[in-house]
Amino acid sequence: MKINRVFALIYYDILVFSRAKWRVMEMFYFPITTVIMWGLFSAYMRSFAVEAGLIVLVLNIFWNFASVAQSNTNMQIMDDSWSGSIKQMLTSGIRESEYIFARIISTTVISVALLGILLFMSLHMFDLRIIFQTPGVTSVLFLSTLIASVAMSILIAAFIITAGKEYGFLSWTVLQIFILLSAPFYPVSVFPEWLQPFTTIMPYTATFENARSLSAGGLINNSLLLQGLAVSLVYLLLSLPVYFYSFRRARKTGYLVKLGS
Amino acid sequence: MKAVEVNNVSKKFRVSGREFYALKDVSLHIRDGEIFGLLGPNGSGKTTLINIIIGLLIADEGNVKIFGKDVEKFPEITERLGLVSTDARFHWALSVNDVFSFFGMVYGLERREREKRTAELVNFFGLESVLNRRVDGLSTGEKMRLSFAKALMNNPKILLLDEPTLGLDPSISIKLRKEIKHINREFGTPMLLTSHYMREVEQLADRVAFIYKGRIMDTRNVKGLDLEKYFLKMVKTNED
Repeated sequence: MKINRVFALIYYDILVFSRAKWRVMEMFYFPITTVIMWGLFSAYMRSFAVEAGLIVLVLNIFWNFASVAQSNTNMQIMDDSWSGSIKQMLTSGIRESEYIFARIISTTVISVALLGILLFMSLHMFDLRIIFQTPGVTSVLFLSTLIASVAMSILIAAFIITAGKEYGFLSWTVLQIFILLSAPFYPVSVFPEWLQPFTTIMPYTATFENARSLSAGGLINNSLLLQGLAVSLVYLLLSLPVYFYSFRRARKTGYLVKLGS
Repeated sequence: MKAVEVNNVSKKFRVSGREFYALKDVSLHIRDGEIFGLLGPNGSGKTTLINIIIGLLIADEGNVKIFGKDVEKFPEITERLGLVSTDARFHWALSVNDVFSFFGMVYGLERREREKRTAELVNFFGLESVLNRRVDGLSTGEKMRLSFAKALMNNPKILLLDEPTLGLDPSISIKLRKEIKHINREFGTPMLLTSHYMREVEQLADRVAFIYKGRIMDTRNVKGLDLEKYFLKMVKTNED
């Protein structure tokens, strides 16, 4: 991996992000307006179901953070594909490892910036203090979410590269089902029994459970905290060989050429 | 030394459940310093071959060597190639200057070197007036000139030219052809040239191969060859 090429791609992402206004809207506008909406809901709920309001607000912050930390990488890949620039990049010596690594760095910067805005807004507009009381735990929960989303973005990229750019819509849709099955606003026990074992291996389940507990003023389950981090890391470790395999396969099938044409 | 060696390369694709050979047992080589022309009708496999040489595609059989190194085993060797193609596209939101800055960084040029190289290329390809214009505001010819300039940014050791003058003004085409010849003579840069313009191949290439339905049918020296007659004869022979 050559560092100049990683820096070049990050520079490219900054240029595109600052010039293509829809990208800014996509990454900031929807999450901010969503959190404001649920923040207002939590303010309304304060008089009769304070925990419910807080759970909805806090989990919305996690959801939006998770979504942006995944979708920005995949949207960037699709943008490279639609604009045809991916071919120029890959024929200029950029390797697949540099390509994805740079995108993960750009996405991490953007999603952490968004998280900062959402937390600042929630603290000052909706007096959300509870998640600032245990900064260490909160940081681990957000770190697990970030790692899981990075892993998801790599897996989705692998699938799009293998299956073709007509599956680009997965960039902004597929995470929804993983969030749903990770039980954001409700415990795993609400799922049918046959589905429950499956939900426990979802990337965000353990993290969301602790985040709910934290929002409701309950205790943090340390083993669940570690489980959340471990599951995220397993997803990340699994995603990398899948990504490299998909690139090689796409070079064989010709889908890599099609991705850039 | 051979700059490019293509040894018994075959490539199959599957379309609508049916497999077909885009390339079948293709062998050719480009000598150091020569311009090698590749002639063939649409869909004959010219671009597939270029995609295999540059590493975007992996051959099913055979191999490609650049300066003796197998492209599949040593993918970094493709960093020494420059590609100019008709479908070269850059992100619509970037300016011409952004494109030079980005690829200069990709090629590891220091800032001062990058600016110097950009100024040289902008001047040569007449891109001064559009330097700060976005890519989506460029004409077809300007985009092609940008593609050519970008391909020369890293002083490539081999140039792959896939229909390099398609859609360009005659005056720019003439200038480009002169530059292709100039680069080849001055630096001895070997080139693979595909073109629909037989006169272009005649003017530029030292040797030419005729490719038809994924097979190399013949390879000739261009000197003394009536390319148009040769091309028509080859098409007729192979259709019969």
